Amino acid sequence: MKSNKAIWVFFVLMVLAQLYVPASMIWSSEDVLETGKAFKFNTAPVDHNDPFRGKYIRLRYDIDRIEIPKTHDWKDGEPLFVSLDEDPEGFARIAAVSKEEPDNTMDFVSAKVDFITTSYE
Amino acid sequence: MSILKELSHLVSAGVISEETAEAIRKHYETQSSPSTNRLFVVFGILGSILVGLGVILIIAHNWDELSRFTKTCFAFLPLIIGHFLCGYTLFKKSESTAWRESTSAFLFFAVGASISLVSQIYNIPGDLSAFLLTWMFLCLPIIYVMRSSVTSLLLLIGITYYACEASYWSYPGTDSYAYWLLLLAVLPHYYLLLQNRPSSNFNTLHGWVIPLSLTIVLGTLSDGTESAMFIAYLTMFSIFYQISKMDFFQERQVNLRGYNIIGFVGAVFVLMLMTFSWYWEDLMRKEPSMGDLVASQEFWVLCFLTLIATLLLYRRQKQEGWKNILPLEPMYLLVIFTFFIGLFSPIAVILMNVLVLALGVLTIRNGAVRNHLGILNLGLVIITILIACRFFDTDLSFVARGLLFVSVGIGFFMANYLMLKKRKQDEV
Repeated sequence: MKSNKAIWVFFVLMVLAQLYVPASMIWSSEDVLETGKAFKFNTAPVDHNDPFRGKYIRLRYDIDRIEIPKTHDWKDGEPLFVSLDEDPEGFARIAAVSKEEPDNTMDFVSAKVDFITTSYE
Repeated sequence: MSILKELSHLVSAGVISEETAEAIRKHYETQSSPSTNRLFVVFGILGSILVGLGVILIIAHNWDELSRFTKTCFAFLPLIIGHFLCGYTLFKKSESTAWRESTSAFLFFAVGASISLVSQIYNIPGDLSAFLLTWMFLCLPIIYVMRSSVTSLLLLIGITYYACEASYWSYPGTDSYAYWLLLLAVLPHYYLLLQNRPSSNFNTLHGWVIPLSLTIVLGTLSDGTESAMFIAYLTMFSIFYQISKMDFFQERQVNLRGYNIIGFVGAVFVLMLMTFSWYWEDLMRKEPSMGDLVASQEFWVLCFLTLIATLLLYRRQKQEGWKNILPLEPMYLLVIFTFFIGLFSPIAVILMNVLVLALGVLTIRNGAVRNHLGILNLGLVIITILIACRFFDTDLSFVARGLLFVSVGIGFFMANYLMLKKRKQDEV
């Protein structure tokens, strides 16, 4: 009987964990929706189909690249923070990128370096 | 049951008495029929996997017309149904394999469906590998709480998918160490399954899924010194083969064909790749120094695998003697030796070919000594593959190659003929 009780405890813990993860995803998203600032982006949609996410639209952003100095220490796949402001037309614009979380009052999003290319123009 | 139909014939023929027939009938009536029970388990599992996948597909349709709140409620619906079903099973049907396995399988998919639906509703970006990892971690407890082998199998498939996604299919590839953690977490269940229900079909399935998964994922540990990875694979295949011969499994009569076949075929495949000159030329060109080699991840993976393989080999040799060990099993030791020669000298490629040829000959001899036609022909197959590989990358004339093939073909006939003749003589 004792092991039976233990199984129930584990069962309840498992149920709570399985409910907690989607719930926490909802909560943090609701939080952003409530308190976040809305930005407008220039985008181009790409159609997609995926067994898990179904039919969805993937947006390719106009400002998904930024020029950096020839000498740099960025690596592919590195996490980074993109600070955003608005251009005169009201669309989002990259103000700065940094490796550390910006401590100023500017709005920022966390992102990842996709790839770095060198142009020889 | 066919034997019950035969009973009346047996009685009338005077083979058994009426009492014995009655006793046999009683015996089968008291036993619950295992075959229908097994069928029930299989259909239960298949049913819930289909329902679970169906739910995922229904969810994959974007229900744009519903409000966010309604959609969020629906996201939790399969999960909560899954929880209720599992709770009911634990409470009322905890001894029924069919109930435990099918409700667990449903819950497994419900968890994945909920997370992906929430991500979809809130447009949460995030890569597939992180999603798979969260899903698998959340489903790990199902294996132990519900004592579910289907979940264990699904989880093994899921973490393999995760490791491929994280390390092979995304750029830049990331390490997938969580795979090994989750694999270790599944093993206690596998052990209990072997211990308590050795003849279960789930053991047979695990015996295929685990070695296949390891074969797929071992390569993710490679970071730059691929040539050492070949030997790591060879050693791992040798371990698989040795596992299939371990007395722990043999005593319990576990079906280990998965380990056996993957181990043998894999080892021969790797050995054949290593007889090509490009492998050694690549090694010489890159010239990894001893220091680089020792610092690489592959080196430590290789050390670990070699240690396990050698321990297994030592135990087997003590218990069964060299006669019952296939020459393929200790092969990895010689290949490691050849590898270190290959770092300095181009002679290694010739050595490797000689090794594989010797392996073929020794396997034939092993088969002859044990009077085992299967092993004898395995040896012949090894030599044939070796010659077929050399057929493509040597400058021998067509005539010479042709003669080589003819002589191996004659070898096949002769070896089998002599073995059968010997058997006939033994019978006389």
